[in-house]
Amino acid sequence: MKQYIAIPILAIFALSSCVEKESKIRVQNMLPKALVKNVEWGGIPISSQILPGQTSGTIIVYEDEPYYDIKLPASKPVKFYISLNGDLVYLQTKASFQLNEDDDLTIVIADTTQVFNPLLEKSFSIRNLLKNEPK
Amino acid sequence: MKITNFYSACLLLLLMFSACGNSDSVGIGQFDNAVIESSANQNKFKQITFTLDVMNNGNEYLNIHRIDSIRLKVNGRSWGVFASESIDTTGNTTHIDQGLKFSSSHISYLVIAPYVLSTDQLQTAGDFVRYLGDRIALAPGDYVCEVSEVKFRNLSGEWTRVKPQAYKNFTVVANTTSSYLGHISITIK
Repeated sequence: MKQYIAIPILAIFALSSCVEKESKIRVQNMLPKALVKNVEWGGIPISSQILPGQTSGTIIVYEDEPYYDIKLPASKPVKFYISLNGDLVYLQTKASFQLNEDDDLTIVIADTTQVFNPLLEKSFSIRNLLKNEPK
Repeated sequence: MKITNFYSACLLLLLMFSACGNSDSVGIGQFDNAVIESSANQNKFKQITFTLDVMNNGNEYLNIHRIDSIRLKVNGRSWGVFASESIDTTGNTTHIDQGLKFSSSHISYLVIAPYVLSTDQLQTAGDFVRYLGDRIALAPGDYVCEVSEVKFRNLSGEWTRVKPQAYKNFTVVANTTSSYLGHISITIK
């Protein structure tokens, strides 16, 4: 009798240990008049386009995502394009956003979100270096 | 000390090479290298041109090599600071007053003024949105250009500054990138 009880319990335990934990992530665009496009976090595509005020659909991230080389917990910046009047600029957030196991994370891109473009950052740091060079 | 000079020289060379790359792009602002322009909106209005006379109270024309600084506003918003094109006015001087040469012959200075979007740095997503928005200088319509300040050097090399508040209206036609404003006259008091 004990065997009949123990087997299902062990089976449930084994199955539950096989189920990967999942986290949720989404991005909200709070930039007036600008589209946020091709949004990704740690290489994981979040949305192709988010209108002003809109929040992207929820993306499920499993604790181990070998395709994107992500293992939760992970801390990554958000990369995206800003589009205004059809003109585009590529940006990355200066801050990284931490996603833990079982998290439900909403990242807000707003007016004050600190961002940079690697191409501009490079030329800006060369100018600053020259400016600060001792005479 | 020598190492520092060598380091500076290398950095200057690097900056010169990067500047060569920048000169190829037809931009409006200094961060345009990171902007991909929409194919539907490439003919942005970028430039105004006009001729400028500077006269004294006796209706004589200022006779100098070029006007060093002309500050312009369009519809009350800064358009940029420009120098006129250089001209050769040798032998035209009628008389000299307070270190400035004047001529009774008509002398005009050509001013070519491409829009300069002056932005120090871009730190936030909002900064980038504003930068993209400000790159469209003027949509088709009617505007007023103001010559808010003119500066030039006298024979002693001292600056003369005039705040003429001269205005000129002009029209931006759709799908054009520049406009000729005609003639603007200002008087030194």
